[in-house]
Amino acid sequence: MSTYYFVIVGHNDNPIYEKEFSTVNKEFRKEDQRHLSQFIAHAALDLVDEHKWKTANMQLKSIDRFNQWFVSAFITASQIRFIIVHDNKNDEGIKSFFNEMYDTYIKHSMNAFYKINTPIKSPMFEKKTEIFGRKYLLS
Amino acid sequence: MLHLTGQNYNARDIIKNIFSPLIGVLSSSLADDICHRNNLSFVELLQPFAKLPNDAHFRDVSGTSVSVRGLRLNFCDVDWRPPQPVLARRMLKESVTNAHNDKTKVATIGNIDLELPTSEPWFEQWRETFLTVQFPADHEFTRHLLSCLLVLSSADPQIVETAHKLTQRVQQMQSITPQKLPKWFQPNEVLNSYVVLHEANQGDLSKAQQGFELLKSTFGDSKCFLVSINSLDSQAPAEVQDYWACYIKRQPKSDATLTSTDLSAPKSPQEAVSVISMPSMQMSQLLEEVPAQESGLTMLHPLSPMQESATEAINSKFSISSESLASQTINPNVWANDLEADAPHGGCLTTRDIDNVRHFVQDYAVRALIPYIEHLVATLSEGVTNKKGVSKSLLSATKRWFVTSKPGAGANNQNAVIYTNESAELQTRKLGDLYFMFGHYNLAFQAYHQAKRDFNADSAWQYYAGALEMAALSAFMLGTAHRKTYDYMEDAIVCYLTVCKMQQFATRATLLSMECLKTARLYSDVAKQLIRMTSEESDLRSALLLEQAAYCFLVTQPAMHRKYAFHIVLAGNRYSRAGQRKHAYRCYRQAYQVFQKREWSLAEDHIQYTVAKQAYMLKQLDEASRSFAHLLRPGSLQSAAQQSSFLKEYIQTQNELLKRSPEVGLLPHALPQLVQSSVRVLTLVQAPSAQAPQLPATNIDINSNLTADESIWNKIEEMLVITAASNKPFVFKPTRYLYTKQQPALETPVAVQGEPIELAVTLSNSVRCSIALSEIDLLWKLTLDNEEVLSNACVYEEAADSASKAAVQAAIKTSCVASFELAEQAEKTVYFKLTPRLTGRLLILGVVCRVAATADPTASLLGSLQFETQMIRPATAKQSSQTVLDNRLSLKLVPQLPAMSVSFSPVPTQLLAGGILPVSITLRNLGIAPIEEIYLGCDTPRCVSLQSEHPDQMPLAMKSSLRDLSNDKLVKDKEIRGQRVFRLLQRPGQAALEAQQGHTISMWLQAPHQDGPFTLRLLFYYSLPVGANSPIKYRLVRHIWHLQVESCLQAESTCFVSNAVTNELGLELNLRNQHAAQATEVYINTLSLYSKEYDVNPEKLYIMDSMGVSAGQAGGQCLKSSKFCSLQFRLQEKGLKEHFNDIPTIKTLLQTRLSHLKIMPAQHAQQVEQHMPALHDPHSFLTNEETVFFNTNISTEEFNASIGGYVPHATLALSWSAIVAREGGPRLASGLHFIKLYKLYETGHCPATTAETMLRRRLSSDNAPHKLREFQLPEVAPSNEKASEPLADDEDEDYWEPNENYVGQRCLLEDESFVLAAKG
Repeated sequence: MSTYYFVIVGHNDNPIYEKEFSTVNKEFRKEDQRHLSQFIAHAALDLVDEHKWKTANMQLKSIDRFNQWFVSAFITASQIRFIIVHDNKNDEGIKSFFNEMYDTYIKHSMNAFYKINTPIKSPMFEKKTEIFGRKYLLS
Repeated sequence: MLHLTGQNYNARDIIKNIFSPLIGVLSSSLADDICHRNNLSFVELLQPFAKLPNDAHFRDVSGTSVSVRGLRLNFCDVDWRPPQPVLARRMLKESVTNAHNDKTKVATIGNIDLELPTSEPWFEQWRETFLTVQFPADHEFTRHLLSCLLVLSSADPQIVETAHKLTQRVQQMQSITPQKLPKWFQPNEVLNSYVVLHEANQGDLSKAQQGFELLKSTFGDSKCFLVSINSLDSQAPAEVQDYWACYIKRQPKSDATLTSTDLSAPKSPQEAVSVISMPSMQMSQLLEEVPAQESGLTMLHPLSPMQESATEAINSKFSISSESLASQTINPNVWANDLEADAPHGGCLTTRDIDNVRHFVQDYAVRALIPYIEHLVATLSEGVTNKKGVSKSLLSATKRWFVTSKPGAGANNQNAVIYTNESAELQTRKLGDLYFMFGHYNLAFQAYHQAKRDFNADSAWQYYAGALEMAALSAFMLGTAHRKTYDYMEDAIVCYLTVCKMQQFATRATLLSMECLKTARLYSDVAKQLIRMTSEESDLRSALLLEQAAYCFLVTQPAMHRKYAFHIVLAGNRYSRAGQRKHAYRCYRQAYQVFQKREWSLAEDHIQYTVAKQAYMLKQLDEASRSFAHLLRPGSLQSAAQQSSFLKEYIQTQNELLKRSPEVGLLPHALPQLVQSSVRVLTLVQAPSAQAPQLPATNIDINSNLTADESIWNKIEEMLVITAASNKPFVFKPTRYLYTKQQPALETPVAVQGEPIELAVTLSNSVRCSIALSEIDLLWKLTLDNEEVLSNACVYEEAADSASKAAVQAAIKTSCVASFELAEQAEKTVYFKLTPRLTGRLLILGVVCRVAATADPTASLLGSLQFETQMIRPATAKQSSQTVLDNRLSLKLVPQLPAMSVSFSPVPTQLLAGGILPVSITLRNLGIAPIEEIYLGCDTPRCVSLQSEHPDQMPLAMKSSLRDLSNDKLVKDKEIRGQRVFRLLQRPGQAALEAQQGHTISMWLQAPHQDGPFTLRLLFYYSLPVGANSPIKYRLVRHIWHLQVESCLQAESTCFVSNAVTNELGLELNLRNQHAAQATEVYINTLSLYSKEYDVNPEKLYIMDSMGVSAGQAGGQCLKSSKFCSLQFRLQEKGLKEHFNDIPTIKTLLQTRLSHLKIMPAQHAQQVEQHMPALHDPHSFLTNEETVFFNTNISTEEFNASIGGYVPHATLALSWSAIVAREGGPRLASGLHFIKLYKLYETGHCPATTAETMLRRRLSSDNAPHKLREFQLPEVAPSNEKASEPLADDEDEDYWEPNENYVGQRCLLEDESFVLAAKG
């Protein structure tokens, strides 16, 4: 019973990629959660921006929480922010997931046809996210 | 009582006000009467003057004098009780509901402009109410009555008795054990003072003095005060300004619950509203007289929104516990009087009276209260010092020294400790409270600190928390606050919250802490504390605190606008749960400022949906529909079901809005979207006037893509116009009828009255459910020539009368599809046809349609989709970024003009290569004026032949065969025009076409010999009557044929020397039927030779290969598909040498040069040939074949070269007919094939091969000056042998190199073509 909401946030605070992972069956999940995750992730940006200069790590660990949700963040060298809103502790998994996603993101961003800060619509990216999500977050 | 609102009090003032000494008031009925003459109770009378004007001096235990600056006394009726919880909750709720502030300020954070309220009166009102309705607690004494004022009237004959009675009453209250409300600070020795009110205008002062002296002698000098008021008669005009009206929250006398002690007027009408409509008023207000109050409110405060009073009316109908109501006397008459605008308060008071009151307060504080306080302080500190060390038990003493207990460490003895009133711990606390109330914060801090330690040791957590709280406040007021004292407050809150479970006190401590921390700019701590206080218990409190927390995030460094956005959303959510729609709506709208255009789609949807819902409930329907419209935007991530429910609510909201305010007329639709770039406008649509089977000219279709061949049309038009203008100078500008995104309208398009205008626009449905559209119409505005404006918008307004509707509908007729359905996320183009009946300027504004969800067709919405004027960048100004507005939807309507309709007899879409087809063109003048001139332009004149009454000029190429033209002065452009432009119906002295007259012209069309698609464009030009002051000088009709040419007959021919002895020349002709269809039969009717020097020998025809020839439907000899035949015939020299003195007519020339030979004619050959122009006719296709058509863009050099050089040749014309099997049965076709022969042994093809064409071009350019004969024969025999050929004068140039030259050139050519092909 755990859910993860992963979002990549561009420089203008705009989500450029969103993905949800959950072990909970779709029928049981409330639709309500989806926008709440967005609110939480968006609110956490303030803290990401505050913390990013305080550490040399790209990994920002758990930086915020709201009720039962934790927010973990990762910041790339180009200041693209990866955020995960999750409801259980899984630091190691999240760390690995972030690292893999960073790799994937870099590869994607090197595509000459991709413009930074625009939504990522690549099916390849989607597939990789799916794989890493299952591997590190849901296992 | 408490007053914290609307004053921009700083934190110190607020804390001071909260903890001001509380004085009880009890008045006799006579005294009450005196005050009532001023519309005030005694408590109210004192309110504006409760703050001491001068510093007071207060001596502490050590005898040091402390000056108390701005001491404020809090007067309170002794009979006042805090409201019961139910009532208190209502009061809190309404204090928030009624407080509004519509003023906003803009804060720019990051790059976002946030509009925030300038102040939050709802929070201040709530805080004030919250603090007011709290019950005094036992663990603190700041809310206990310190002393009591007994108010008497000088008119009382038995003043001492009355005083005694009142004293008894008060003492009864004070001595009750256990203590009941009101609580007294030091119940056993309360300071009871006596105030005698004297009415100066009535009573005798000396008598009053007498009574007062009596009182003084009874109760003591310092406890009695005489105040003289009411110097004026109540009838007399008021003398003093109304100190009370603006800040006293009006309530019945005995209820002093929420008396405002505000000293100044509200700053804005909004605040005034909030002051007037205070909850207490509504509470105590007669529930039955709601309408009166309501009307009063609206009358007094026009700025107060209507629905507000409506809400209040509803709210005040709530049942309030009768108990709490019973304790409050209701006097509606007073309130009714108060509503009268002028001087409701203090009507009997003079300035002197006011001064008396002011003096009294100062006097009371200095003479009675402060000495009493000094006394109390002395007693308490003595008690504290005496009892210090004497602990309650030895155990607790040990504990005190050795155990550092923490709150919540052991839950066993929670709040178990009960102190007696005399216990040292409580005495210490009391001492602290006294010091604090009288501004001696240093000693207060020490006392609280001591008390805190004691309480902690005793594990008296409630007391402990209270002491901590006050210690923190003392430190703050002292100005020595630091991290540790802030932590005191933090600990206090946590202790209240977790150990004592006292939400109320925790909240109060948080509110106090908030002020302290804000002063210290520790905003994130404020936010943290505020957020901690949100709980499921109270939505209203949570909402208010969350909102405050949100604002805190904005003032932190750096500002956290995203945290703000989240918390303001949470606050909005709580507000909506607490039923505070207005605030919920406001919060969500504030949040949206951060979220908009950030692509957090679901969050945005949530905000918009809530905004829409709240706005709908608040009857702000336009806002609601705007938000619903936003939810239907393209690219939404919502599910189909969600979207269809959004759509339903949107339609419902819009309809409600229309019902409510019908004057808004047509509302813009959110759905479907109008694809602005798809708007196409076609002016001058020809009425289809052709009678079957005649087909109308194609003209321009609204869907035509003009980019490709518009330049061709423009070129033809230019040629036509120049020809028609006959050398008049002008600047040519192509006429345009179709305006699209690619073809923007830089100038105003012109349309003609009575002729339809077509408009196409694409509508797209962005949601995941299908929608149905009906009642589709265009919205337009027509400015007539007399500047009168007509618009059909009025048709959709209820108000407009039917006559004007009819007038408008008559002005322009619009037609389009009645209804259609747009599937989910589909697009559809809608076509409109407008026929203007008037002239003027027409502006097409938008599309009107009725939209309904397909699933629920009953709920539909009529609205409009507006066209937006597109910005275009003119091609001429590529560099500059200057843009101009597109005019395609703003048309100029001109009066009726002559209109010509053009129709054609039908032409099959598939033609055989070289096939000739008669076409009749019917021209009809539909207008009422004659058409003077008609011209026809054509892009491929080679394929068109017109029968003309006036013999044409001989083509230059033919002329050059007669004489050298290189010295003629020929104008290139004119010749080019001459080849492509024909004048039609030229009748001297007569208009080409009279009004309403029709005329038919016959024309022949020859398909090109190359197979493949073939396009033929015809452009008809007709001039308009001169002098008509119209922007249109001429009009055009376009026609285009898109034909498919099928290859059929393939012919090749070679000239050879058939008899080397006689030098007789022969021609070999190979024919092949290449038509794809098996059943096609080709008949070769006649062979004609056009030659200057030879005739066909009619006797010598040899069929060389007739294997392919078989019997067909129309004769014995035909070539079936893919069959081949070959024949030879001989040439003979012309009997007569061609000689013309002058240039002959074409006909004569053709007749002279032509010779014919029948080959294997079909039965219908005669008939067939009648359908074609005879070969010797000037308009025959042979003429066309012999004409060299100049490319429109050739250079002058090329032109001169081509007219100068005549290449001698003979042309073989094969007249054929064919029976083609078509779907509709066999069809007869006929045509001509031409083979040009230049040299011996050179094969000419028809259709010409590419190589051949290239060769010709090469030769014509290389050997142009060669003036050779046709089939130049070499001198094989010596010149003495009789050559059959008469030698040309340029004998010396003749030589015979049968193959070398030819082969060489051929190779070269092939090389070249290969290179070209490789390049291509």
